[in-house]
Amino acid sequence: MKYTRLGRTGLEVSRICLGCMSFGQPDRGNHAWSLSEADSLPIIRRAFEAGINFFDTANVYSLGSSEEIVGKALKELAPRSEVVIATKVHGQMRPGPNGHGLSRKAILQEIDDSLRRLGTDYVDLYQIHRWDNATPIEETLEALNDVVRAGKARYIGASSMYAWQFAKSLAVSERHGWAKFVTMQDHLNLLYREEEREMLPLCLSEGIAVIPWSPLARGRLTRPWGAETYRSDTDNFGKTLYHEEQSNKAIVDAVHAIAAARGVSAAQVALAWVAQKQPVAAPIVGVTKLPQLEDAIAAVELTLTAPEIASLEAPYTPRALAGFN
Amino acid sequence: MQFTRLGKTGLEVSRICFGCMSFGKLTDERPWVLGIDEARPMYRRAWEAGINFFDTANVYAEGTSEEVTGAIIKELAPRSEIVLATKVFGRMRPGPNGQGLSRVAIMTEIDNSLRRLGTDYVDLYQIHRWDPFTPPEETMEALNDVVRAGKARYIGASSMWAWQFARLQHAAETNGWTKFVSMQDQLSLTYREEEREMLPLCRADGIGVLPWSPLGGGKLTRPWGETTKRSTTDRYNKSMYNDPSSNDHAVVDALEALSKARGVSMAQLAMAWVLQVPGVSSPIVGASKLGHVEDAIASVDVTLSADEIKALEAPYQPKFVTGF
Repeated sequence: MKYTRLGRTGLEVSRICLGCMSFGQPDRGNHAWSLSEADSLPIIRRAFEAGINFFDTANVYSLGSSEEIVGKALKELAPRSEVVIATKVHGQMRPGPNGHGLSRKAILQEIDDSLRRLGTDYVDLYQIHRWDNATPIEETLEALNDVVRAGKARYIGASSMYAWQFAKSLAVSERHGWAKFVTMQDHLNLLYREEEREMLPLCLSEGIAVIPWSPLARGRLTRPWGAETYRSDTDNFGKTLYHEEQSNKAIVDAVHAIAAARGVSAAQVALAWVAQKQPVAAPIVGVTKLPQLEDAIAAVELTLTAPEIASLEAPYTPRALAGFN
Repeated sequence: MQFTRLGKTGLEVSRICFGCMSFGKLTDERPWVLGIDEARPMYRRAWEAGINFFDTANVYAEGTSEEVTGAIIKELAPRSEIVLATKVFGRMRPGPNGQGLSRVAIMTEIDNSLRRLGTDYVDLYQIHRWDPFTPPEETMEALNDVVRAGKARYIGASSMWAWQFARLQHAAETNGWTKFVSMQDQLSLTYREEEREMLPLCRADGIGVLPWSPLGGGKLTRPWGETTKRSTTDRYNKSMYNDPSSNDHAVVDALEALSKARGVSMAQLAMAWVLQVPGVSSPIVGASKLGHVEDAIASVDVTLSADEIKALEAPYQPKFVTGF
């Protein structure tokens, strides 16, 4: 496994982050395709044994069940200091007022609930899961700073939002001397490259580590265009993404052509492209089967040539914004 | 004429800003530029119709746009009644420090612009692009000094990435310097990429938006396929609006259909669309014929219904970013 510092921080993370949205009791939350605890454990174990030390979950994943499974598995595998645990706050955890969002009240409640479910005293990276239009960003950032000063999070990060909102957040923290975001978890893959416009240049300029979600476009880059799976049939959020048929098909064809020429899987090619994009620290890879994990591990060793990258990128046409607005 | 405050400032500007790039001395690069005698009737008509807002730049026709603009507005009105905007960034001479947003370039260029314009101050001094080679703090401190010296009333910016604009504003706010009050960026029915990041940022912070090319370089003023001298000779124009994968044809068709239905010119409707975008203070209107000025003046009083706006917007497809 290869490791990198997370942006301008001193934190060392593997160049693959295991996305833990795939783990969670299927009857909790909204992912019917997620794996039970028993099915999740072998995957988390193999990831750790292959050198992956970076695990990303969220309070909302299977309504807390993902955090419970990940916390328990990691406790069996390694001392706490050897793993980097990331979780998130923003989504709806209960009905009614203050049950979601980035108010001071929600954040201070949710960090404690996440720590309890994870069975740990701190998370390494505490991320806001989206932008909260109803809460002043100053309130959110001050609360996150207090979480860091209380020792409950080592670093803070953000996820999909507009670049101008992220730039404003960094400015507000800096003016107040508060902890600043060190990561951006956003949507980036060969079928969705809109982040190349604003967000990636901003992150490069400010030393923010990018940890992209859906690096394989929810599996669409790993199989012939149009093939369906249980997840693609049942994933309501996924159905809102990737509708540019002509361009998508041409890109997926290019991925498969390079995979065939190289004798590697399509997933490895698509992941290697994300991992090489500046300033990506580690793509977040969710898996439900061990061979998918092996592909991700192997992708870290694959270096694409400039002509290969050019042929993968050529068919792309601008997309409407998707994934957070 | 209708007037508005520029963003959240107290400055009153007409809802049309008269763009002065078309005027000055002819060059090979801009064979469509008009000299002072051809320009004068258009400035005069604009002023008489209530347009008080004039936008030029140091680079336009190598400084001669500023000279023509300065000379004509002096004939038209007392200085205090005019809102005069110019810009700095582009190359004014070969060699080191001949362009950009360094302290040395800004201090030289503001004085040169004031001399060419024949005035002691400009109302709005804009940076014409982002300078990747100068730290944001250096640029913002220099612009603050220009304002404190009385040489500019306000400062503005133009086309750049939203994160860069946010970064510059942060530098000014952190240090207590003058912040930008306007954003001059590209916005029209055939180029709406600014709706993604820049317009929401400007609305959140009360920045007045001054769109350039509100008529898509003229494409939105005539049925699809007709050409003009500028559309066939202006290299910059050609590079910007000839994306074969775009859906511009359908946008222009929708505009033509509405023009026929309402009996209002395509130019007026296209301008009316820009005028109604939230956050827009005044589109920049360039003119090479008196009719262009008349259309712009009339567009301020054209109101589009929600259904008409929807019909004009529907064919648009996302594009690659152009213009900076």
